[in-house]
Amino acid sequence: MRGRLPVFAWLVLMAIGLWIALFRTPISTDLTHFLPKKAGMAEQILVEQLRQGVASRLLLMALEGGNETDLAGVSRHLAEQLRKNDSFVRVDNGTQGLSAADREFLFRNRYLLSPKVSEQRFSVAGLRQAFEARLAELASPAGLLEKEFLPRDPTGEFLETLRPWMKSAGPSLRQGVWFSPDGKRALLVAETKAPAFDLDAQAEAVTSIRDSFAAARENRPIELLLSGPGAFSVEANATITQDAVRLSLLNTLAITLLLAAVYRSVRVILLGLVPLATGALAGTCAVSLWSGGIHGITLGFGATLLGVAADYPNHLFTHVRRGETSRQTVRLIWPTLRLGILTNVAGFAATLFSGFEGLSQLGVFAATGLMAAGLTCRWIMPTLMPDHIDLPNRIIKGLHADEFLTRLHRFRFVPPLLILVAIASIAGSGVPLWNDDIEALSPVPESRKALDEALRRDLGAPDLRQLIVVTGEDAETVLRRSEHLRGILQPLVDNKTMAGFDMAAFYLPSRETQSLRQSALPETEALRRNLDEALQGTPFKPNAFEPFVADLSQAKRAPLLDETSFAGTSFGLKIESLLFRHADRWVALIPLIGVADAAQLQAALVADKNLIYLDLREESSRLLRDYRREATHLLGASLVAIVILLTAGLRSMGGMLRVLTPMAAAAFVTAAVLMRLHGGLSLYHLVSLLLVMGLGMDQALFFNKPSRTPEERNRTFLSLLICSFSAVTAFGILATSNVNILNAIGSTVAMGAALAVLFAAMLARRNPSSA
Amino acid sequence: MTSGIKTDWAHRLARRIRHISRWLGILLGFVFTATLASAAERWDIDALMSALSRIDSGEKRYTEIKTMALLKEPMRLSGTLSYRAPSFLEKHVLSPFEERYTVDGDSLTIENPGKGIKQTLSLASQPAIWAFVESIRAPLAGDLATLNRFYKVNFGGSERNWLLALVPTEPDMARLVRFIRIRGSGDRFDRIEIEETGGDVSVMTIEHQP
Repeated sequence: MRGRLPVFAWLVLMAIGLWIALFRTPISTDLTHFLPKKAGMAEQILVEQLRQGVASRLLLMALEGGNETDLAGVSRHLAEQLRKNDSFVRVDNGTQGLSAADREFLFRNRYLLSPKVSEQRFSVAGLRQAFEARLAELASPAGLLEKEFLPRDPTGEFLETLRPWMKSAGPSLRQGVWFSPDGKRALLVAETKAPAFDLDAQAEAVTSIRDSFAAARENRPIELLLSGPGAFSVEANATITQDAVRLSLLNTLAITLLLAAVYRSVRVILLGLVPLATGALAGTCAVSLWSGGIHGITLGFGATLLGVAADYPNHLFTHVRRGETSRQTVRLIWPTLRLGILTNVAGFAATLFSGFEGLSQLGVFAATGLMAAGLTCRWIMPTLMPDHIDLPNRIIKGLHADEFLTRLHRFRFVPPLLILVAIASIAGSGVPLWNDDIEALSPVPESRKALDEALRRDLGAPDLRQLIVVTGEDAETVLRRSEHLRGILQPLVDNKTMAGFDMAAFYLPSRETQSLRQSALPETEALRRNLDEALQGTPFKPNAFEPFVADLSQAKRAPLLDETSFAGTSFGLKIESLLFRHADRWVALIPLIGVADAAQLQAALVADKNLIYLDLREESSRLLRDYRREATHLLGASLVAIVILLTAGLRSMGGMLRVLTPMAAAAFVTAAVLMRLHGGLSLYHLVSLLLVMGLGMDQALFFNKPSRTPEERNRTFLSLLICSFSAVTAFGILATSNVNILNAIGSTVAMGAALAVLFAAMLARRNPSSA
Repeated sequence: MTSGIKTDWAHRLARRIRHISRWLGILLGFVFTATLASAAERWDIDALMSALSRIDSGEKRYTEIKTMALLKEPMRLSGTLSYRAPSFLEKHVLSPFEERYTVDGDSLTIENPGKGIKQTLSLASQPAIWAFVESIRAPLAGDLATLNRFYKVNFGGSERNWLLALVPTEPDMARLVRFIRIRGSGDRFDRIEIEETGGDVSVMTIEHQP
């Protein structure tokens, strides 16, 4: 009963591992793990914006299909319902103007906020001009609305203060609600309290929108179109989960049937899962202990890479000969298995030196997982296995591995040749091998992206694609810099380089500007003199503007406003999202709208280290490119380690080449084919190619395993057939998915695994006995 | 003594009853005549509305006098008012300056050639302005439902001299305007009075002779 101790230790470790994985491992979806460890401010702001910026929290809604009145009615009803829901910070469909408190705030502070305040405005000439304008307004029917403010605000500063808030009022109104310019869609926008990455909260928000819509539309033939980062992630998550579950069930069924046909034992089939499960658990725990949590992407990609470990038990099961204990069998295949594991681990070890936390996590996960799976195979499986696995004799005898391999051996020049062809094809395609556009990773279908763009255009909602980041020691400095920048940006709007921009300084002037305005206000005595003179000859009564005199003398001594003054008004949120503290500095975001000529814009912004121009899509693509580059470079470096390990392990250069060539050929040919099909490989393809290489190496090693008898060679051959057949089946099924991530991984691995086993067979070592 | 008081009291009661019944008779007579009259003319708000709804279009000159607390003397304006069924209304100020307000459906266009201003806004986005527009447009269209949506409506008078009194219920409008009174005869508007909450009054007189 020597075998009991390792099994006992394994059980204890599994229990501890399970506890760690379930209770001590937070799974994060925080993108900061995929930032380089020495990320700059721009990168940090980028990720912060992607995670929880206002743009990431917007859900855009469009109603279409009915007549204008129905659409407007449903829009009104829907907005009313959603406003009662506290998942949303703000719901807007054009019906909501400023609240009474908001107006009161702007009115009270009009002399600090109005950009028109100047000494000239309160001079005799300035006042006279104002009186003429006010008289004309009084004559008009709309004068009714403005009259209420007239005695307190004859120069019309309130209207000037309102202007920036009115300007961002957005799309055209029909029947009082927002509509697209063609009048076919009623538009609404909601800002969720939760950030876009909080999938549960986003799903809840999306559901409440759909429910409220269903109630609001009653039985009218109106459709709801929903867009925005939150809606996308909910939808993508749903389709990916749905597809993944459906396809995994199919997979499980197919693989179980295959294994059942070969092994004819439920116990053996279940045992086949043990190394893989152990590996996944070990990988999770290792990453958890190493970095205090695991990233969702690490878990997903890591589990894909662990696919190699699914082969290990098959190697073991097929090699059990009649009259031989499983312990003897494992000793027979262990050297080959060990070399395969070590080379794979060596391949991933390099990622430990990565500057990306996410990449190191992936390396740790795969390396630990494979090692654990291998050790389980070596020390645990033999004890758990039945004494005898009865493979049908027909299969073993009927395979004629030697004959088959001899025939294939004639094509041994094919894999090296294909490597050259593949490289030539990739080089000659004229497009870069890697597609680093972040959009290529997005599981959102093109049609939905087009809809999103259309809605954003119609709503005038910022897509936060391009923005300028202004930094400084404090809010005041940042506001002053923004005001200065406004002078540079406005001409660019006028000459159509871009459609517009937004900034906190529109709503909150710097204290410097405010105090300039304040000092331009006349003292009470001077104002009275000017007023008296200006009023002469006008129909206004001499004492009509006493309230104005009182307000102005109060404004002359009023405290200046800062970013905290807006708390409690609906402007607070807007200002907070555009002006905030980041670490020990202050940041103002200046979202740019409709940039037509980025080069000209950048040229206008030259040489100020306090200004950063960010193109979020380019910037995140750059991050992705850096990540991918570092991954390929480190893997390239680890190739050296693999070559040394293989040469030493196989004790020959020829052996090393026989193992590496099929793997390389499979990877290159797959890459070349995918490139011809998709025009560039994404990160998903890269991860899948890593699995192909791992599988290829493992299979090539077994093809080159020294075997004593033709029967053993038949068994090895059977093992490899099972492994590659299940890999091709499993990933082939995944390739039928419409979701790009599942499709990419599925098609790459299915094709790569088929090629890898074929090439490895072509290059398999001829056995001395039959050569 | 007691009986004397009693008879005196009974006497007075009888006199009062006689008195009341005489007035009741007169009142009843009035009610009867009024009912007869209304049965003959059927001049009520529905009749007014249906008469107005038969008008397709028209253009009239007007003068408007605005009396305001802020001003030493009232302001005088004049111009034309045009209407085309069902939803086009235009106020064209000609004096003392030129300005044109055009309402068509949900859109309001303000045009001032002197200042080169032309701007269009949606009535639905400006509830107070919308309510104001409907005080004239809805009666012209004979649309009582819309009128009831924005105002508490009172109607009185005869066909030759009727009065439509509107008290705003729309909150933004109610804050600004106390009531609007439209006086007219038959299907014609003669005079529109607006009294604001601040006490300012505007009286518009519509001329029917060209």
